[in-house]
Amino acid sequence: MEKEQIEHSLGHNRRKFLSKVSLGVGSLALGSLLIPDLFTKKPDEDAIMAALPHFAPKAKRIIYLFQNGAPSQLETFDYKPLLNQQIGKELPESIRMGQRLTGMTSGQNSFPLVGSYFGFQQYGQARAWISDLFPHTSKIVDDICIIKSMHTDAINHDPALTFFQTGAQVGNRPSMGSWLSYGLGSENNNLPAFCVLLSRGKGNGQGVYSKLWTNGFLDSVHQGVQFSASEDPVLYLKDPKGMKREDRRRMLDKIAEMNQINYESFGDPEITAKIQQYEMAFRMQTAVPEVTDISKEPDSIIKMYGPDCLIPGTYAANCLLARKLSESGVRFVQLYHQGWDQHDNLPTEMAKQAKDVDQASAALIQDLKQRGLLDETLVIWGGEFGRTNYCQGKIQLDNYGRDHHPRAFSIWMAGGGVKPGIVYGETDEFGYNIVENPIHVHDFHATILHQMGIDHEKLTYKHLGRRYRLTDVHGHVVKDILV
Amino acid sequence: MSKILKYPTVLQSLLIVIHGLCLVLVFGHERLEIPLLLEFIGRTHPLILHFPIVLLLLLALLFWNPNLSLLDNPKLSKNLFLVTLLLTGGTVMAGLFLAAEEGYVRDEFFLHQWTGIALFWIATLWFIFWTKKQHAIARPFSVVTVIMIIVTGHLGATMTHGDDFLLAPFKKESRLNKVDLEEAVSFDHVIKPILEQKCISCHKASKQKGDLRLDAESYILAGGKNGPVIDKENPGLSSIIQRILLPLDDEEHMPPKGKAQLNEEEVNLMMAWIEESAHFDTKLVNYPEESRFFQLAKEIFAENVVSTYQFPPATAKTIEKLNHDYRVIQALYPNSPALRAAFFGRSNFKSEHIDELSDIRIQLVDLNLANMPLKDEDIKKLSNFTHLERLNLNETGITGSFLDELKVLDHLSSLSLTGNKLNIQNLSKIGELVQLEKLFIWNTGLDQTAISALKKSLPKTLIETGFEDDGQLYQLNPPIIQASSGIFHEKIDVNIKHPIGSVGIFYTLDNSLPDSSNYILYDGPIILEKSTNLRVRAFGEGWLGSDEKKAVFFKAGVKPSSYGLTYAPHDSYKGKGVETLFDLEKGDEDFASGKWLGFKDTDCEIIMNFDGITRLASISLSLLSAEASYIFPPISVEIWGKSEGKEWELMHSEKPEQPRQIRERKQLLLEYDLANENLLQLKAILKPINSLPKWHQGAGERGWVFLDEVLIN
Repeated sequence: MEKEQIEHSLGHNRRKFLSKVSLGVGSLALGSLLIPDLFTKKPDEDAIMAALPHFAPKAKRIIYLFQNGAPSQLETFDYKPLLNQQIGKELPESIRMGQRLTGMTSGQNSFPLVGSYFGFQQYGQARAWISDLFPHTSKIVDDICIIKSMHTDAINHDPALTFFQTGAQVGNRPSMGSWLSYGLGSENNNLPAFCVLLSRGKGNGQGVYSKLWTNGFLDSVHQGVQFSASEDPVLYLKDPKGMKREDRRRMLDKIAEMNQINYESFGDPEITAKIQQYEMAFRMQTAVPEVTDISKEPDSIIKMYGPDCLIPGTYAANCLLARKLSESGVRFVQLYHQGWDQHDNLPTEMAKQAKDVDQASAALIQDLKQRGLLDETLVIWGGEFGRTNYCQGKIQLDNYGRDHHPRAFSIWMAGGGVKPGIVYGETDEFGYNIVENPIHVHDFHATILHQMGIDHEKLTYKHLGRRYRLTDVHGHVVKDILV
Repeated sequence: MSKILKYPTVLQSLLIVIHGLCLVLVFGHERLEIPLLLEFIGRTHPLILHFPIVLLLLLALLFWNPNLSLLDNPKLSKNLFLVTLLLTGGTVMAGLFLAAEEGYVRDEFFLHQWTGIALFWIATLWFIFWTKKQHAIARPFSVVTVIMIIVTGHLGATMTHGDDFLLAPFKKESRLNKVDLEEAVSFDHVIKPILEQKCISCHKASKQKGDLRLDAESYILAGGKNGPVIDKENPGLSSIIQRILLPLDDEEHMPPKGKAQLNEEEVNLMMAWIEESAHFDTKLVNYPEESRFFQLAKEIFAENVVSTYQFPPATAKTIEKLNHDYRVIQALYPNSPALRAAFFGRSNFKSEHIDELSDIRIQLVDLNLANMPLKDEDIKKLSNFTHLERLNLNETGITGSFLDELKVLDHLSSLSLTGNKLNIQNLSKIGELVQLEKLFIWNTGLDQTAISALKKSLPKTLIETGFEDDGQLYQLNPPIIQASSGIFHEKIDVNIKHPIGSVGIFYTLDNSLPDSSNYILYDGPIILEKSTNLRVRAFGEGWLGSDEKKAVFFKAGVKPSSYGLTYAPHDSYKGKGVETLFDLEKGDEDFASGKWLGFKDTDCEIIMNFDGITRLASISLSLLSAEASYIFPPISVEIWGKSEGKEWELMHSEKPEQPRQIRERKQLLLEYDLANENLLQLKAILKPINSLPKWHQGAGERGWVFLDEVLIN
């Protein structure tokens, strides 16, 4: 302790000394030569921030309904009658074209095609095929844009999920929501710009972990704030019994004062971040209960979202909460619904999963629409990859499984300047390869940023000597699906 | 030898050699083919140049300061001077090697090269006159040396850092180069930004790869080492296009692999521009409407222009002053005079907060007051915001008394009134807002007749009425059973809840399904004193009865004084060890939760000791079966008992029924009678299935046994 005090009084310690020396001397001598813009970082970033948004945004907020585990495109939106006709027949090599397999089916010496156990009908002005598992979604078909031609690079859950959320398959990059928080800030200063809601689902589950909503190398204020499934959505937000709000205020003022002194002597920006976070938490103490209180929602809302919406931690409750958070200016609400990993028991499990999400997803769109918010809120529904058109494990008419498939899968988007009532992209008749209008994950990111008024090539952050973007060095805005 | 060849002599000779080499190089470097090693030495130029600079400046300092006279130690100072000169010469040579690589601009390089060489010569002269003690002549040379250092250094830095590196921080130019489509010029506003982003870093004044500059019209037309880059006769053969279109791995591809590539839009723009004669100063609007270049370029500007606002912007200071944590005011997009305002925090809202916006009453086009507690009179204030286009009044508690005041807002196109209990008397007032394009009236208490009347008075407005309860009955969700644990010693309190307070909770305790004729109505905690199957459903008016929720409560009347496992459970599912089996905590369906012990390669053998002699009625084993996850009932179960003075005795041996197909994951309880015997010790042995049946996906592999609790009564 004595050592720390001396170090503090000197304003120095070993680490600071070394970093100062190496920064000071080293960068003066070499930095100016090797990294010509070493000293220009600040103006550089200021310029990036000053120019945001780059153009008039179509969407102000995003709600991402992530279907974690990867729902099968072949039982949702990609209708392939050929698979039902050729059930049990071998997947032709001319279609598979050497596609790598996961460890779960690489040992299989046969790849028997299997068609959807569920029927499909056509709906809406686009005559879109939707499986019978989604009766509510089929009612909002004229408000959504179904994309059947998504593809990704990854074939296993963790990298694929990380890729979708951060633009890279390895961890440590900032999440999409963090990029938006960094680029656009919060609309409402009393709530986090980036909120995360989790629900478990009823099928075979895959984990989600906080690296998916990490701020990566961005400032920690951009981290996603996970809401808990309990009746206290934000833990430890309530004051202890008997503590008055004025007392809390006085306490925070004193702490801020001390932190400020500390900041002036140490200069660590994390200290100011901390002061801001305490202040925000204080404001959240009133803002969060206002937003999360569902007791005043009318009965018709419960009927729309389904009675599950009253049980904290269900997908339906999270959809309702997402609407309320988004309505209150939260820039990015990220939901994860687990349980979509149907390697076996697909018919039983998917039926349960679909029942879990169908009504509430559709209700969210309807609810935003009736409030006049759908045009400025972008809603996305989809998983991290698709599933194989052949069966994993033993094939039975009423029981089969599907392995991971990165080459083609389906998602839908609604609102926020995305063309409603269209179906975009097409796969071959085996549902295996994309034959028309492929959309890569990078393109997906570029398009989403574009809708928020951001040029994905210009929103950058310099870290470890190079500029990073959500889309790395890729990505095209898919103008075809935009209004 | 060593006496003749003294260091200074060697150094001096070396200096003469270097002077000679420099002369050869300076005239010949353009014709030289530089070997790899020398290329490397050349690239050390920016590094080593710092040594002679520092040393020469130091020497000048020593030379001019009488207190630090160089003459005090002539030998040392001479050697130091010589080393300095050698380093200077080395730097010049390295620089000349570097120059032999392509890519440097002649003008700047020319000056830098010659000032560098001159510096070397002048410093050498300074040295010569100084050694001859002719200080009067040496002095001016020293001054010139210092000046030359500054000049040469600056010229060199300009080459690496760019023209205005030093002064750049003072020049605050706007990076936003936004013009309207009407004023945009083909090159400056469409093509140049692309080149600036993707090409110019290597083709500019200070770095001219392939002798090509792309930063101005004249240079682009002049082309580079390989000739012109634009071919107006055969646009498709223009090398700039050809190189962009080459595969990324091709050596000729531009921009080189690893640098930012042109995107599809940019490639199309470049191609269209060249195909349409590569005009530099043509205004976009002067291109014919059907021109591909015009069509593509128009897109860029379309993003900037949503609608044009003619009113003057508010000052940044005004906007800043009005912003606080509960009221956010922002421009619609950068440089737009139009503003949007949003209010947050119901408990912090005051009616005056709207009045305060009068400073931006012209600029405000989008106002969000959703969830703020408004009074009907507050609506009157909104008619001051003359350019308001979009107004959100959802859930504000207004009844609509003054909505007709908004009819003066000619631009108002979208009005949201969701969630307000509108007074039917005020319907005609809403009907006056004929300028509206969209009106949102879901959950406003208006019935079908009122809505039809509204539609009649607002024929051009899209009226969104939202979700309608079509009378379809939805199923209630099951109640929630709350209890501290599924296992208890003496008795347990069980609470049942349902999120919809008004529904009835029906339950049974006899393992029968609760329905309208067979139930107990829940009205407070249920107290259980024996093992019980609790089944619950919710019923309510306007809903279908819920599915049932089941819970099994086990009584474990006797706890062994000590217990142990003969073989450890599998490492992945070891919970808290043997303690897991006696902690009164039921596992759920997640077998990896830590509440289950898993056995595969070894038997699950539990030994329990009872202090003194205890009468035991039964032992129950709580197991999981989940065939899809390779978890099966044990292939055999043996229960052994030991009473005072006796050996172990087999009390039960059973082969539990094995599944014939994959079933739903479920828990099962195996119960064995202990006939109230007095036992000191009890032993249960559960053998995992060693070969999974043929119908299973893992046929032939070992299966698992999962156990979460042992109950003794």
